[in-house]
Amino acid sequence: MPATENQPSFLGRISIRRNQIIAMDGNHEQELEDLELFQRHIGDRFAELTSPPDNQDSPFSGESFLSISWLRKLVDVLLCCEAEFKAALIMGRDPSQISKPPLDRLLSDYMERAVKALDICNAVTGGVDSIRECQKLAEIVVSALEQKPIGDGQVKRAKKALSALMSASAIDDKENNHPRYAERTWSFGRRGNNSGGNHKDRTNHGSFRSLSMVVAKNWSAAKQIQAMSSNLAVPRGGESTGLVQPVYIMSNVMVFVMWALVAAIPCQERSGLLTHFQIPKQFGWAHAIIGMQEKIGEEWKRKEKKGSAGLLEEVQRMEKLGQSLIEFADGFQFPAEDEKLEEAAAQVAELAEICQRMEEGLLPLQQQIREVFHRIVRSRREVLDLLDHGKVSQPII
Amino acid sequence: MEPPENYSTATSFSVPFEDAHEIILRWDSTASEEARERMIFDGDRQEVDLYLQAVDEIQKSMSSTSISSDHHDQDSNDNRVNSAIQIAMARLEDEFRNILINHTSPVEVDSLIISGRASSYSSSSWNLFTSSARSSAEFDQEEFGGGDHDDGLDPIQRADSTNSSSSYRSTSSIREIDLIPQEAVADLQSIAKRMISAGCLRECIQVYGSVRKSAMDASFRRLGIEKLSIGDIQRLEWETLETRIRRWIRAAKVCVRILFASEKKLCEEIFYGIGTSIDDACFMETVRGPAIQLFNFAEAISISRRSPEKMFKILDLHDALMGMLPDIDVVFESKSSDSIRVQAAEILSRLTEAVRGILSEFESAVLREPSRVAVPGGTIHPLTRYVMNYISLISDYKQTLIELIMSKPSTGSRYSGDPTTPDMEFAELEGKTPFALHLIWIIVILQFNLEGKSKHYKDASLAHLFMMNNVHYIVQKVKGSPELREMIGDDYLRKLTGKFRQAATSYQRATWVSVLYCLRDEGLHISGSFSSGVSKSALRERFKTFNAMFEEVHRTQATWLIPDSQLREELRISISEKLIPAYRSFLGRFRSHIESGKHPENYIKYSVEDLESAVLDFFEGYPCLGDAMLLNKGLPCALQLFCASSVNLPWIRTSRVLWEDKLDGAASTSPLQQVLCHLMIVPLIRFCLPLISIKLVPNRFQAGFKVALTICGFKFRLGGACYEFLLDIANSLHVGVWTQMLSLEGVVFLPADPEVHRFTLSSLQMRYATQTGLYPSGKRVLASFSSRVLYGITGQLILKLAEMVETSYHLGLELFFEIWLETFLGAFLGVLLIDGIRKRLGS
Repeated sequence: MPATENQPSFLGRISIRRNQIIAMDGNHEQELEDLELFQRHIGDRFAELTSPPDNQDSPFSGESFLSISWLRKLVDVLLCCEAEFKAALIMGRDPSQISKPPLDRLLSDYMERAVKALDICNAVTGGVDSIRECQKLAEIVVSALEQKPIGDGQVKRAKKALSALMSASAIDDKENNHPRYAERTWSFGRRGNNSGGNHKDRTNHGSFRSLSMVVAKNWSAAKQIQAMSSNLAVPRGGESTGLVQPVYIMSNVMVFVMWALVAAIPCQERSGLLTHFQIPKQFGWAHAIIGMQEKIGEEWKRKEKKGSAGLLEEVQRMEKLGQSLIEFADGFQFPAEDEKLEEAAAQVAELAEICQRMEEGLLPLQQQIREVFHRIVRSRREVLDLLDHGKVSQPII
Repeated sequence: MEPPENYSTATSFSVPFEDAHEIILRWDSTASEEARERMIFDGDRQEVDLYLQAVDEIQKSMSSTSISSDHHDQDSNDNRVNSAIQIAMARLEDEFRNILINHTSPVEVDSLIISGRASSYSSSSWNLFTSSARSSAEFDQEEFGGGDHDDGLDPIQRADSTNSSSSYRSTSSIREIDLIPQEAVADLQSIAKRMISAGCLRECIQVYGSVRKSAMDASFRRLGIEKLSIGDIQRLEWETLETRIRRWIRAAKVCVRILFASEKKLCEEIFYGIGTSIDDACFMETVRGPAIQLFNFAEAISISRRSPEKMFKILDLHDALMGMLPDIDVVFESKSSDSIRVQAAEILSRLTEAVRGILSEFESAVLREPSRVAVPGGTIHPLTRYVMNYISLISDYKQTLIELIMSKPSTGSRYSGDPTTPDMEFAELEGKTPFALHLIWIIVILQFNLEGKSKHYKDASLAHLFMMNNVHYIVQKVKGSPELREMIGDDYLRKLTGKFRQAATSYQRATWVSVLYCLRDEGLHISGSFSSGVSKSALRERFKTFNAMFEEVHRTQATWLIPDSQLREELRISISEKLIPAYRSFLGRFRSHIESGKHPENYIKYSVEDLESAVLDFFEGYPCLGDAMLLNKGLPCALQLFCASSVNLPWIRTSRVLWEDKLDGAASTSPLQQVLCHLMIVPLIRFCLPLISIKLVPNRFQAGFKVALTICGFKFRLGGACYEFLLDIANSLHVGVWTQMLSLEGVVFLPADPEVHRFTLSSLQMRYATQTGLYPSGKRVLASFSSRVLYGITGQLILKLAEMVETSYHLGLELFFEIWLETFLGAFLGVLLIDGIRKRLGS
């Protein structure tokens, strides 16, 4: 496990810090122990995410990096870390301890970050919806091409769904803030001149499509990530006592998970996502995260050129399969050669399997993201209460 | 391409397969120009029927061809049928879309929103200091039109007007409308049936969803439902949000009860009986996004930071959502939409939590409200007004709050001995709701806090008067609100009444016992002698003492204030009843002894009538005698005027900060400065702050405090802050005169901040120079400038100027002081005032 190799180094740092704050209040020993434990748990959890699954017989075991189930694990890790963080922060603590600088400022920064994370949760939830739209299109393709024998009619139907699918997944989120998934093309290119009235409706229709996104038009996932991470300063020596460190770590964990979700799932406006968030390398707990970040970064660079819907493994495979099925459909002539049919049948089977996995995984993922939302709201409430209680003579606001 | 004759009459016949095939191909839009140009369902009904029959025939033949003989033939035949089916499906999909689009006009919801009664909403947020100008008018308006359904309104209007009752709690529910005319629905249904039986369910759902979603989006825009991220909403000012909450409540009702409900009905009509839960899938496809978008706003409000002023709109939101919840449960009854139901319930419970949290936060804020400076004249403390207005406003929401507030207040126990928390005995308040207990508890802690504040009066009599005034005000407010009175109960009200009566008695004892003591007989008689054995010197001394004491009491207590006229009258009568008979009989008994001696007027200064009329001066808040009184006159009177009109919450906070800091700063200076500080600066700051309260940001003040000025040996800590808010006033009033004033202010202050300095000296002085043709270099210029601007400014602002006067004095610039004095104060407060100040300064 990568975390184990890193442990000496971060233990070393702990002991340095131990010396620095030896003169602080009485329970610092306990506090340091807690901090150490917290850091180790964070490191371990993320290390587990990077380690490959045991059963590697299939390249697409469903557990692979950036797959739906992997994302679900990632969100689970966030939830675990958050719970532990909250326990460390709130339980059995004197509010006055929290409302003292620099912690009060750091915590209110953290709260700001939490609000931003809420919006990302909403945007990602919308993104998952758009993936489900793709799934539905893919299901049409599957149901058309699953029939035996495949005739012109089926191919025609599949083709229509495929072209919708391809245009849905080829999102350019810079210009067209939303995927074009919902739009099924008319079966013919243009409407006649007798449909002047309709024409107006249609143009309207086109411009409404952003409505699947809950967030405002100028909202940008990339900017949101940037805003979350911009004031994330590494605690300096004097500050790195007590709770300062956990707040910093938790902030990083939160930003990273949000960042990964935004990278994997279609979100409004993601250009420049890569440059916005860097975790300093010197921390033990961060190694696994940095590893993942680099991996996702590489994927992102590769995909950014193509303008992809996101790095979600299932979506990428769906795109690839869609592409070759389009080729199959374009060259289709009844009756088709057996070889081509076999090839297509295999692809359709794979597409069906992806759809199945999406069917099983996307809703739970959405629920988990909702859970993150709730958790953040709850913690925010509790911390705000603590902050307010800590202030002794609060005037009536 | 006219269809053959026999087809057009053959509506009830089945169409032979070959003909059917031909019809399908004829309408293949990828093949013929005409098929592309025309829509079947836009045209002749017979053609529609024919096409649908053709589709049916093809579908039938698809199931029958499987038993055909030859294998190869069957394959190619299958392919032919298949192909025809897909052509037909593509065609039907287009027809389906076309019908939907043709009947997609956003629901006319404007009339609901911009109806006449909506105008009443424009009145801005409630104001705690304008006592009973309550928001109830708003609710009254909303009740308009409730109850009667046969009022000839169209269904939408009727739906909305019956949806509302007091405080947004409503009982009425769903009103569906026809989004698409019935004939079109029938067409859609017949297409949907065929598409679904051909296995094209997913296509059908998608087309349906995409068209209806855009219709929904258009309706949303008409309703004014914005897409705001949670972050955006957290950043908005609460006042802005209040209007948005109002707008949202109205829009949400229309959404849930009309739009969503009608959408659901439409789905049911089109897809009814076609397949299991297809209607539901289509419905969710359409409204999922809009519903999330709608509730996102309420979600963001429910998690915003809590503060007392948010209570009212959060309660409104809570009540509105509560009222909608049954409808939400009906509209989103299906399994697939439970996430929306759950979300609404979650928001509601978070709003409930917020209401509870705000109430307890309010309580602790009342308990801890830390201003230490005594209100001049012992009148009603702003905190009292604030708290009482607050609780009488929230008792308008009693129905909701009685349900929401479940736990008793966390009070100190009688024997806790904790000096920072008052005691409260619950035993005698049995049978009260927890919310009523909270209200009583708030009054208890308010009194507790006020008692602490009363200790800051040096004069014990004034402290009693202060308590009397404030508790009396509490009683009046409780009596003024039927809800409050009912919840607090007569028992506790009697207790309160007893309390202010007790305070009145204590006041009288503290002031008058010693005065009346002068009028006793003991000590006047020469021992041993009878009838006329009165010591003249003792008697003279007694009269002199009485005169001096009464004079002093009169002088000071005429400046005290009892705002309630009835209470003032009662107290005066009570004083007169003790004082006048005692004086009269004393005078009767001893007058002759004095009048027989020299200079009786030196000893008997007051006739009984004099005293009677002097008592009428008491508690008027007059600034009558002495310099301090003079100062007191102009400022606090105007101040009270202002306090009565508009004061809001940031105001309390900032004035407190400034107030105390100001006094801290003054503590090291002379007693006179303290007097000035107390009498002028404090009211002035209080006075001026509301002008800029909207723009006030706490950290701006903190920054201001840091600018410490050290000029002429005076440490004037507030220099920067003063300057800051002068600047703010200038901004908010944008009176050219003001900017010029600031330039002078700059000269006086010489702020440490170079940026401010530069701004002051260059920009403002230049502006002054260009406007007047003079450079403010000499005192004369300043004086003339001052008198020139004098009449251009309002009476309120003169108070601000008076502060500059005081500041100049602080800085040791007496000359400046004089000039300011003559020019500004002279005009507004009269020559008398200036004389007073001068005398005071001279002494």
